[in-house]
Amino acid sequence: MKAFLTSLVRGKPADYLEIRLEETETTRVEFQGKRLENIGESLSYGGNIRALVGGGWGFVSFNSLEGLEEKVELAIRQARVAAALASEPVRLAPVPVVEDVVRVKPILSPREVALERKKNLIEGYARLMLDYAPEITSASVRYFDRFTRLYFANSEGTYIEQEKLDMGCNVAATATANGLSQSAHTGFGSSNDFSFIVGKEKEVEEVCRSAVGLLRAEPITGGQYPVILDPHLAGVFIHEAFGHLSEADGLYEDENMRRVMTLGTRFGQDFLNVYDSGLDEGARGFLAYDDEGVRTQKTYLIKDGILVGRLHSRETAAKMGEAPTGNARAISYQFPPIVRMRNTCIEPGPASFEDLLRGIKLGVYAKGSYGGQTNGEMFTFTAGEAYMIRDGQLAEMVRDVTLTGNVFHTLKNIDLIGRDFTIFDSAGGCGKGGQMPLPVSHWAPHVRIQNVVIGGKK
Amino acid sequence: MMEEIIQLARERGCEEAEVFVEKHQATVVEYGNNRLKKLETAHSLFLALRVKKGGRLGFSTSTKPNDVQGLVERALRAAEFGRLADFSFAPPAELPAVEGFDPETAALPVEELVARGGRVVDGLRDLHPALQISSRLALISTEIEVKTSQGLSAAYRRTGYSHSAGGKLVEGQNFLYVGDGRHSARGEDVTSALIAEVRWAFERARVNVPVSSGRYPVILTPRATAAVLAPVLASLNGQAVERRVSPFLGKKGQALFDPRISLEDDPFWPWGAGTRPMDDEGIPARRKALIDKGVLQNFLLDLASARALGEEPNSSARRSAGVVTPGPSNLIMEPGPKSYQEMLAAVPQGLLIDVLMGAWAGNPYGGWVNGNVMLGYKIEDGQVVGRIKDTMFSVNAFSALKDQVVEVSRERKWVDAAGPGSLGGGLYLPYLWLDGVSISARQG
Repeated sequence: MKAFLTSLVRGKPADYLEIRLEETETTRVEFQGKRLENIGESLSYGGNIRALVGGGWGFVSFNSLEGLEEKVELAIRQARVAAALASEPVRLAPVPVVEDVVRVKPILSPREVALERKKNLIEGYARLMLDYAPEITSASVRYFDRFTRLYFANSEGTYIEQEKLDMGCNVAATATANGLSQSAHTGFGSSNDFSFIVGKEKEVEEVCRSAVGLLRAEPITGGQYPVILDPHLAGVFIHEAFGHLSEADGLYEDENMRRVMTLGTRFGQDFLNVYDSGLDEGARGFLAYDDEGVRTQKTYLIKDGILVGRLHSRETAAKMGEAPTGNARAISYQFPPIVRMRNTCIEPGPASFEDLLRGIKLGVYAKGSYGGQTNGEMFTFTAGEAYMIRDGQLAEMVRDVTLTGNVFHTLKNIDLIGRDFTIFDSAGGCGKGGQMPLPVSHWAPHVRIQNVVIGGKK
Repeated sequence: MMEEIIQLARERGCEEAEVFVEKHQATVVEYGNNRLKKLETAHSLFLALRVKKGGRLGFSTSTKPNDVQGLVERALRAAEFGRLADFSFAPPAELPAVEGFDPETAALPVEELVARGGRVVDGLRDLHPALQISSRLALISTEIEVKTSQGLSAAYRRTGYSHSAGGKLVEGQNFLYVGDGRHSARGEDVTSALIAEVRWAFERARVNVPVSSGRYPVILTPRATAAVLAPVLASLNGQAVERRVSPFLGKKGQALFDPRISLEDDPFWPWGAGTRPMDDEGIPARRKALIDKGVLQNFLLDLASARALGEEPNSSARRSAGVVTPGPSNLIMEPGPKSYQEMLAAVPQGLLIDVLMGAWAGNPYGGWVNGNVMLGYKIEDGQVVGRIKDTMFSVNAFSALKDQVVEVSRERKWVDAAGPGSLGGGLYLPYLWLDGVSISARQG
């Protein structure tokens, strides 16, 4: 493979050329109630060629390995068309030429677990949910595992063979009573151990308890509140509220954005520390090399409340005169790599849960996540479960809690950080530029934020 | 190859087999930050196999050409445990003629796409020196073929064209994004219309105006209408009805909405973004009313959900990563009598909502649509006076479409169905005026 791929990208009339081949085997098991809705194994096979000429990129993706020479020529031809209209050449930040083979070393590989055992496990959870309470009318458990073999070669001499493993399981319960229908869900994920899905009875029952509880909960009254986020939601929050803003492709060619994101700018109080890392084994955001063949690292974004770093591809790093960070990622061979997160974390602080509650007269405790979205400046995310806080005590459950904020105000409004840094992976993924879902992680402790806007009836 | 797969499945003891093949050829031109960035070409092949063995369903997909053996083996493994399939794959059928493939569109040269994107950049450049202009053009030719052991052998081609244009302006810590897009089976040049829309939005959104929390009359643009319709669409999905999570279960024939709300799925709409002569299970296209004058008429049904509900499948199967789920081809909402301009002029004090962020998150069957107003405006005495920010929009779609409808516009637009929570297909929707919408704003 090495000789074949290397020969395709060497000595061609392009400033830079790379080829990526990928073979991915996916297993899915999905139960809807007691019924096995979907079980199957799939094979995804294909590759792409990316060419840089002058200031333009050409990109060709394919399933068939026939005629690869012509595909290389097509990518170069396209890059030339783009280059003819380019105002300035694109440079790529230099990175070490690498030859490496990366094998996954799972604790328990899903490939060593029979399909029947996976089915039985998932079925067990679905049955557990249906038996939990008469109000539970629907239970959905969706499991997947994915094993990928990647081959990467570029015109600079880098050649990498890399294996990747990704697993996830989503659990959702719907409770119904008196024409009202409420759902609760959770998810689990891992990149190195099938056991992530074993022994989750307690968590699954918790989802049922939440769904049934929501039947009696009232929608929250919209307004501005102090909010405590649990570690899951705090992770989603930092991903949406700050992680995306740190992706350099959103700012490298925009002078005004670069001013906003000048290193050294204060973003939070001096106890706020945020980083993004590819080094955390077991996290779904674990990554040895990114899709440009760059070694990943732990990259601090905010240190002591001050902006200290950002996430780069080779192109954005060169343009900004900074070092590549190994954040160029593609969800599959059908897409070129773009700047993405890996495992984005808030470092723990000193507070206990009681410390966080103390002093809140009227507030909200928000747990778990239904997902979120950002435009860089404003963000929103929806809690899976939420409770009012009254006079420093947890009070009644409320539903339909969607929080919104403005990055530049909200990060500064974090006034207390918990000491319970939690390692947790969900089964969801991140979407950007039509590429979704990308496996990412976000680990965090409990976090308290003042003045958060929550939507809802007045 | 498809015949070969069915043949092999039969030899291995399957009672039935169904093969779905989708071939794409796509060209994408991308302008970003005021310049041409990238040209892309994609050739893709997608194979999906479903088999019935011992009455159980097995499923597998592949993108590897000639992966006949592997595909069948994997489907057989799955069939050992698969759900009991009490339905049969599609029988032979005549496909109706639809206007969904345009040879001229398929043959559009890449230079033409590059030129159109360039005109967007040139047409917006004078708005502001720091405006970051982007434009994306995609041209897709698709061939879809379904064969079943029941004797169906059906195929069609379609073209897809999409063009989006937008701009981003960062001034201090104020971010402004404006943009719009068009989607059709035909590659007509819509550059001028896109430029006009982006200019209109940019000029009105340059000024931020304060808004306080409260209840407001709100005009939704077609894409905001799509966000509010999402819980309705999710609940019309036959699979959700079958799983008993849809609140519409058992409510056929009931008036659930305002009589001005009518929704139908029309796969025949000429050059619609989702026009097709059959669904992804090979059932010939059928037009069906979903909501007629507020009354629930039909669910969107694939083979499995139709069987479970004791109804006929109505050509609503879509495949996402090969897995079949019901969804519309072209979801068409009935227009109203007034023009959008007339509606706007009639609002003394209210909001115009264009883009909602994060509104897809949450439990759709409860009906709540809560989104950050990423792009929205204040209306005073019928005039758009500026942009509102840092606010949450909240409605319950089920009650709002029943009790809060003021007016539905005459104009409609094709809305991009892509994005999280999307059911795929095309959406052709009007502007919608709702009364008493809850807005929560940041104080201070």
